[in-house]
Amino acid sequence: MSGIIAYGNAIPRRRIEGTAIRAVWGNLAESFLDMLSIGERAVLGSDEDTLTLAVSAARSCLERAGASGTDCAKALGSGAAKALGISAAKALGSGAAKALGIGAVVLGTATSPYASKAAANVLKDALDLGAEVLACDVQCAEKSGSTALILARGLIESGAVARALVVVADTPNRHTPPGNVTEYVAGAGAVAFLIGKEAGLAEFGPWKTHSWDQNDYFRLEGERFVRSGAGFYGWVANWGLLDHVVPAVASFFEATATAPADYSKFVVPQKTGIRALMTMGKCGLDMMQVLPYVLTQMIGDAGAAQSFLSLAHILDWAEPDERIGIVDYGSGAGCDVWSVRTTQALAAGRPETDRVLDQIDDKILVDYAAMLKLEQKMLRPADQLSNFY
Amino acid sequence: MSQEFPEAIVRLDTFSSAVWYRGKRGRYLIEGSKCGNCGELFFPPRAGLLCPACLERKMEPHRCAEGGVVVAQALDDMGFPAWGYGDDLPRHMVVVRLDDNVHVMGDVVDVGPGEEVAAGLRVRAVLRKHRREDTGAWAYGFRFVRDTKGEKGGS
Ligand SMILES: [Zn+2]
Repeated sequence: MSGIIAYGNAIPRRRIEGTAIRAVWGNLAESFLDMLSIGERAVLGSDEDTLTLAVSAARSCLERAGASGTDCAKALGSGAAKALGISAAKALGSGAAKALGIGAVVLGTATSPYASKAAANVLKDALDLGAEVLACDVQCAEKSGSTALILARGLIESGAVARALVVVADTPNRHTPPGNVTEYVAGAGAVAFLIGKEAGLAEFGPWKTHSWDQNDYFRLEGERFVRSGAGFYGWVANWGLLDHVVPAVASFFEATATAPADYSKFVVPQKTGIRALMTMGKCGLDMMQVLPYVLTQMIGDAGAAQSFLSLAHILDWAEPDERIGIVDYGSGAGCDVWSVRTTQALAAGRPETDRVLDQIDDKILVDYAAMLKLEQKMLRPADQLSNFY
Repeated sequence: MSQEFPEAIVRLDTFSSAVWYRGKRGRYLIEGSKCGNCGELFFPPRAGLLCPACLERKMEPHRCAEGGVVVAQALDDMGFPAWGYGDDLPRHMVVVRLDDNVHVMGDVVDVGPGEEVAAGLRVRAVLRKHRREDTGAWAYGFRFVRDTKGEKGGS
């Protein structure tokens, strides 16, 4: 048994409207904006990346769990900590890790700032979690998060560590070429889950996976931009989606002896609104189980973090004893399906500030040129030191 | 289309990779020093053990508060920013009094149109990418954003 003890989320404040992108490129019929649920999408600040978002989400998660980083911050006594009877950690050094029993930090991302260096170690240092804590990056396309979570659950359920911090952060917007249709939806975001042996706010159910090598959205070594595996967005990508999602969901229902009606809410792939609708239709899910939790039209697609943001949004508002399904698909990575059941602790433990919707509402709109600059998509000379020389 | 990463690498030797690396706890966690005898706090951390206030030799690491209040601000809108800081102008440079009364210099970032940065503004520290080192590695460190959650902390 394992569950979510606390969670935190982070979304960049800056956004761009799909219409502002279309005004520059004109490369998408206007009717497609509605059809694909293109509204606004998150834009990275020039000083933001996967790691900075990961740190923000993780700090918020640890704070909600009752561990404050500094010895000056008061024992916060957050709702989550109180509801679960965790006494607030008020310690220096790796006190937070020790007080919460964190034995592992797993970072799930497809857009690590480094090709080889462990970004999870920068994250761990920025959280002051101590050298004895296992740190590990998991890279598995847009389902890096689900896969990281499944591995971390294994560490907990086997008894290897008492608690683990799973952080899912992704920045597909910086890795989308200008003029590509994915530019309309590629966003960024991060979610952190503190998980442990207890049921916590929401207890994990069984998981199932379905995967093979699919020639689908990937980034080559040394390249910034994602390439399409087959040239036309929406064809091979959506074909790969259903090829994996449908059998994965079917095997999940079979293994758990459940049916769609047993779940109050479902998180589905949502790179565009079409993907959510396709998954919904092919897996026998109801509109009201799925559509209220699709965030694409507000913040775009945060890659690996998107389904976790949807789940965090659901936990922000869910009632105790709800069963929630998660279908997570990654390009060329396959599909993981898992579920959580909310507990009585959620009623008292849910966050009151910095909820997903609070962060979605707190925004700064930027224009296309500013987006290009902030996401580092303008070609610049290698010898430039400053703006004058 | 070039696939070269366009973020400028700072090639001046003012801050070497080694210096950035050794200072990471200060940049990631605002870690300074605390005198184990009289409790005086210092940021940046003191190099030695000696406390200039009480002359005791009991200096130890201290993580400063992550929240605080702006006490002074300067808007850098001269169009001639310091090296490596040209990507996000104008800069709101501030002195922040943290909740444990340590004063630090920093930037307030993510400031939207119509939002004012002035003395009295409540801020909290976030980790941001400062720049690329001369080796190409990323140097992360604290910056400040407006704190919409309000007052908390203070020992
Ligand atoms: Zn002293």
